[in-house]
Formats: sequence, structure tokens, C-alpha cells
Amino acid sequence: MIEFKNISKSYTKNKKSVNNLNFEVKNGEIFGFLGPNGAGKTTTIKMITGILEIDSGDIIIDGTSITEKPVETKKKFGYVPDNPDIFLKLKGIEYLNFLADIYKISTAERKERIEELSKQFGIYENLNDRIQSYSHGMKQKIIVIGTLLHNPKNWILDEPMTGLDPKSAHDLKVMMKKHSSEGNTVFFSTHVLEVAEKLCDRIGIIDKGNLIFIGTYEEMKKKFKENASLEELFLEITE
Amino acid sequence: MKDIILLTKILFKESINTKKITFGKFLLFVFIYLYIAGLIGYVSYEIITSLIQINQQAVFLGICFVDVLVFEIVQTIFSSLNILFFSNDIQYLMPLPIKPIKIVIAKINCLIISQYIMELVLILPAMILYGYLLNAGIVFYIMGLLIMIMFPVFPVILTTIIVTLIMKFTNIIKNKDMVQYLSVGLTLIFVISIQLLNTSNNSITNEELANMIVETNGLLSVYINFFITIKLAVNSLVNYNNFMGILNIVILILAAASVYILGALLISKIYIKSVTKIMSDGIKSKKKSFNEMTFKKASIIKSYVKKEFINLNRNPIFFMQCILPSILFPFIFGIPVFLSYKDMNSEDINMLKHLLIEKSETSIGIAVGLLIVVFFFMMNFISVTSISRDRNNANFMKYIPIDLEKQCVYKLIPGIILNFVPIMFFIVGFIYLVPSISVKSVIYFVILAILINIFNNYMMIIVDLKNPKLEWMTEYAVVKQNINMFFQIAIIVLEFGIIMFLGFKFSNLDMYVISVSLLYIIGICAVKKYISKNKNKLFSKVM
Repeated sequence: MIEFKNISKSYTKNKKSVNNLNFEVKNGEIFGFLGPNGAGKTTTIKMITGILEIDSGDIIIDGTSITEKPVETKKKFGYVPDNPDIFLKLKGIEYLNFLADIYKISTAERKERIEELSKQFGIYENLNDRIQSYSHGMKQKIIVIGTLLHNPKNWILDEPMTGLDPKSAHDLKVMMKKHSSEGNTVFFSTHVLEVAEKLCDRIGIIDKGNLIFIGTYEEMKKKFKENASLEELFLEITE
Repeated sequence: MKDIILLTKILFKESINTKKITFGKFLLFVFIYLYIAGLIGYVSYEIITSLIQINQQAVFLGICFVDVLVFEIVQTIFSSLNILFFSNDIQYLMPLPIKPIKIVIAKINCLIISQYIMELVLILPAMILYGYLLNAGIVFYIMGLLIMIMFPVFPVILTTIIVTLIMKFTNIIKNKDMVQYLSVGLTLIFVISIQLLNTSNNSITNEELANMIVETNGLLSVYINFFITIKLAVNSLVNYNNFMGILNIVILILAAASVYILGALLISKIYIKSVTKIMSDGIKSKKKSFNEMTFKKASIIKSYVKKEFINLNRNPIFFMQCILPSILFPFIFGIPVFLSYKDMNSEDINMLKHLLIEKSETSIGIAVGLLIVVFFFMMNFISVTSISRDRNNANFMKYIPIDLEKQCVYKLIPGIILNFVPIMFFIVGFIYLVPSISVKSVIYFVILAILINIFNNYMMIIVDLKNPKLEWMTEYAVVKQNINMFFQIAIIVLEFGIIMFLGFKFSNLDMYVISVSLLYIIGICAVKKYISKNKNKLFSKVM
């Protein structure tokens, strides 16, 4: 579970990039975080993961605070950043072993997980190649695999579908569903409204740093236009 | 012409840190510049005044230009490879409606401009001092300025032509890493040849030497025949107040202009074909079955440090700029010493041995030894780029469950390990020269060198955290176009002063070792505490 407790963040004086966010993402829930460019999605995600310091408020993940106990809290989530160009000089297998060492995963367990996940994502044959030779989609996949190695209770993804081919995007969606059905939390940002519409249990829409809607797709339809698509609703809310 | 100026401006701006420079930072840069210029000025003063006494003052100009020429050639081998071939900007420039020659000229301009910056630091103070000590008139300074503008054109153009030809004719061109390692090999051969050439130049007979010294500036011929432009530059300055000076400078300007134009035309002819080949980069590793791969669990520290080393070794630019100098330079500087030692007669050797044994037991002796080793530490850029090298995914450090302070320690381990190369080289070399050196002196030296090594690396990681360069187009920019290098040099030069000052202050060796050890232990503890207390603030620029 991820709890946002009145969190705010400013990069410049008098302008809040994230303004007093106060909500929670429950266990077993897939939560889609939507908003136009520059709305505050990535800033929020960076605060959850400890990349950015929170100006005021706190974020609690499974009972521990990211500001008070950062190291302990970071063990409770897996994070997929929006930019997959990471450790390009390492081979896929070296990157995964490095992450497995960080999360203290045993030799037998990591071998089993890497085999299973790399087959599932179709990069089993490429594990011994350097990440720099991977396509954008393959880089995205190796990061997703790395994130899932320690089987985190909370999964945080920043624009995870970008660059994935249809099959991999489908597989990722299936995995997100499976992960939440096991009582875990999935929090992700996206621009792809269709994904949010079909996948999410609840949606949060952020604009200019303010959370302007939170609820299910059905609730949003009821609140705004009964027969509108998510795209129409999104445009109406954010314009 | 307008296109070229604009393109040069953009490419150069892109290659340096374009963050706004505050007034405080500006003052700091001025201070660091004056500090380094002051040091160069001091050394120059000593050399020039000594040479004036034997009427060989112009030799100073020869030494200056030979050193700058070698420096510029070595620099250009690396920078031309990066700026012309391995910079990411090429894929954005190629589709633009700009003639390839304009791209080439803009890139060459960037190479030349970076040499001007280097000249401002290395030559300008020496040149001004030379003019001042010889009461030279204003024409000398105008000529000096013209030479500084023209001089880098030759090494930059000629080296770039060679590099471009290598890139064209090497059939391994698709393998970007291999080509870069090849260039390292060529640089190595080049630099060592220069060293050997210099050493062989020293084998002038006593009679020849005596004749050279008797003649005014007679020794100059040893240096000016090294390269045609050195002759022109030195002759212009030596004869600045007569026709010969004007004639030499006019020839230099014409030659520079011709080399610039012809060189740019030649490079652009070869360049575009080669660069389009290199734009597709495919490094495939040997196929391995899943069961052949390693999955063995390792400790976090081992795994983290291994990752850092892989990143350094597999990236040729990082390898060349961060690792190689520490390994290479002790040998480059050491070879002439050992060669001269071999050529000495037994009487001289005994005298030298006696002197070295005597000095190695004194504070000043140990201090000088430390200065030599710390000088090589200055060429180790691992810690000062440890954060910047990770580019914009350095924020990885912030979302993994490892304390930031611990990660700082893991990041500085490679730098500390590498500094053991010059330490070991110095000790082994010293023992080779003087086998009877006392064990106590060796132990003292090792303890102090290790403490300085740890402290320096801690300081450098703070420098990088305070001002990380996380957005770069080419790996080369992380090291060579990074202002943090000045801080590294400034800190180490400051340490030179402290090490020597304590050496003079405490003539008792034990007292010297205790005082330096205490100073550095306190320094390490203070830096550790500072990181621990301010880690969030220190990492605030990594996001």
C-alpha cells in the first residue's frame, strides 16, 4: 500500500509542481496516474522512490516512511524509470545479477526468476549481450525483469508501455494484473488512455500539480459525461 | 560562413557545462586560474632566470612549444575521435540541410577552441613572464597572441587527418570500442617514441654541448628542429623587433591558414563516408547458453565495485581518460629516469645512491616522494567523475535500497585501487635504484600515500556531487570538458604545499609522519562526517 500524505514539491519559489497530494493506493489495486505533460506525474513518482526530496508531507509504503527510513522503504518497491538507457555497457545477465546482489537474492532463486522472466519477455537469447546493443523495447524489458527479480510488493512504473511491442505490452499488462491479484500494489503513470481505461482499478488525474480527479473509470463517467470515452473525459477535465 | 559560426557556437556550448555560472563560481574559477597560473609562473621564473644567466633564455620558448605541441597532439587524438566520430550530435546534424564540410569545419573549430583554453592556462602566464623578464616591447605580446591563435591549427589538423584516415581504413570500424582502443595503442606508441627521442637527444657529446652553451641561445636548436611550426614560432618571438620576426610570423600565419583550409577539405572528403558507417553500432557478445552463465550471489560491495570497473573498462573513453593515465604516466615519466640511470658510470651511481639513501631517511625526502606520487594521483579521474559518468541515470543510486553514504564509499574504491599503481611503481622503482633503502622509510611512505589516496578520493566524490555533469553528448565531455577537473588539480596543488610545508617544519622524520598522518586522518573523518550529515543535500542535484 502506498499512502500519500499531503505531499508538496516546488522547484521554484511560488510555484508548486506537486500541490498537497493526499490519497492512497491500496493493496491489490492497479492505479493509473494520468496527466498532461508537465503535470507532475514524474515528480510524484520520483518522490515515492526517494529520487526527489519531499518539501512537505510524507509517503508511506507498507507502513514505512520514505523520508524517515529510506533504505528500508526502498526494499518494498520495484521501480521502472521512464528512461531505459541504463548501464548500457553491462550485459543483460550482468545487470540482473547486480540487481539480484543488491536485493540479496539467492543463487538458485535468481537463476529460476531470470530464466522464467527472460523467457516470458522474449530476451532469453540476448542475456549475454551488452545492453547497448538492445533495442529500446528490449532495454525496457530488461529493466522490468530487474524490477521483478525481488518480487516487490509494490510496483512503481513510469510510462512503462513506451517502446514495447504489442506482445510485450500485452504480457506486461497481464503481469501487472497478476501482481495485483496476488494482493500487491501497482502504481503507474501513462499517456496511453486506453491502457488506463482497460487495466486500472482506479485512476488519478493530475494537472498543474493538483490532483483533480481520483476514482474508478465508472465514477469519472458518472461525474462528468455518461457516454464519453476516457480520452474525451481526460480532455474535458484537464482543459 | 554564418552557418559555420553558428554551428561552432552550438557545438562548443553543447560540449561544455552550460549551466549558469554564478558570481561566486566565477570568482572561484578566477582564483583557481590565478593559482595555477601563479604556479606555472613560479616554475617559469626559475627556469627563465637560470637560462638568462647562461645566455640561453630562448631555450625556454623551445621547451614551452615542444611541451604544448605534444600535449595538443595527444589531446587531439582523443578529442577528434570523440567530437568527429563518437559524438551523439552527428545523428542530429546529418539530416539537416547543412553541407558536410561546414559540419567538419565547425567540429574542427571546436577542437581548436578547446586548445585555446588549454593555452590560456599553460602558455599565457609563461609567455607574459618571459616578455616581462626580458623587457620585451608590445610587439612581442602581439606576436605571442598571434602565435597562440595559429599554433594549435597544425597539431589539430594533422592529428585529425591521421585519425580520420585510421577510421577510414580500419576494417574494424563497426566496432566503436575497438577503434578507440586502437587509438590508445597509437597514442602509446607516439608518446613513448617522443620520450625515447627526447632521451636520445640528450646523448649530445660534451664538446657539442659546450659549443651550444657558448653560442647565444645555441641550445635552442635541440628543441626547434622538433617541428617546423616551433621553429617559426620561436624565431618570431626571438626576433620580434626585427624583420626576421615579421617574416617568420607571416609564414606561420600563411601556413596555418593553408593547413586549415586544405585540412578541412581533406577531412570532410573522408569523414562523411566513415561516420555514416559508424552510426550503426553493433556489439554482440559471444553466444552462451543459459546454463553457461554465472548466477553466483556476491556481496553488495563486490558487485557494486565490479559494476563500476566494468563501466570504466568497457567504455574506451572512460578507460583512456580515467584509468590509463594513472597506469601510463608513471612509466612515461619513469622510463627516461631508468634509462639515464643505466647510462651513468659507477661513480655517479654510487653518489646518487648515497644521496637517495640519505634523503629517504629525512622528512623532505619522504615529502618529495609523496609529491611525485600525488602528482600521479592528479591524473586519476575516476572519483571526480564517478557520479557524472552515470549520466542522467545516476538517480539509480537514489532508488535502490543501499544507503547513499555506503554507495559513495563503493564509488571511490576503484579510484583508490588505481592510485596504488603509481604508489607501487614508485616504491618498486626506488628499491630498484636503491636496494638498501630502510624498511622503516618504505612503511612510512606507504602509510602516508594510502592516507592521502583515501582523502583525495573522498574529496573528489564531493566535488562531483556538488557539481555533477549529468547531461552530456559524448563521454569525452565528462572528463575533458568538465570544470571539476580544475578543482581536482587545485586541491592536489594545495596538498603539495601542505606536504612540503610540514616537511620543512618537522625535520624529525617520526614527527613529520605523525603530523601528516594526523592531518589526513582528521581530514578523512571530517569528510566522512560531512557526507554522512549532508548526504541528501549532496545528492540533491542527482535526480
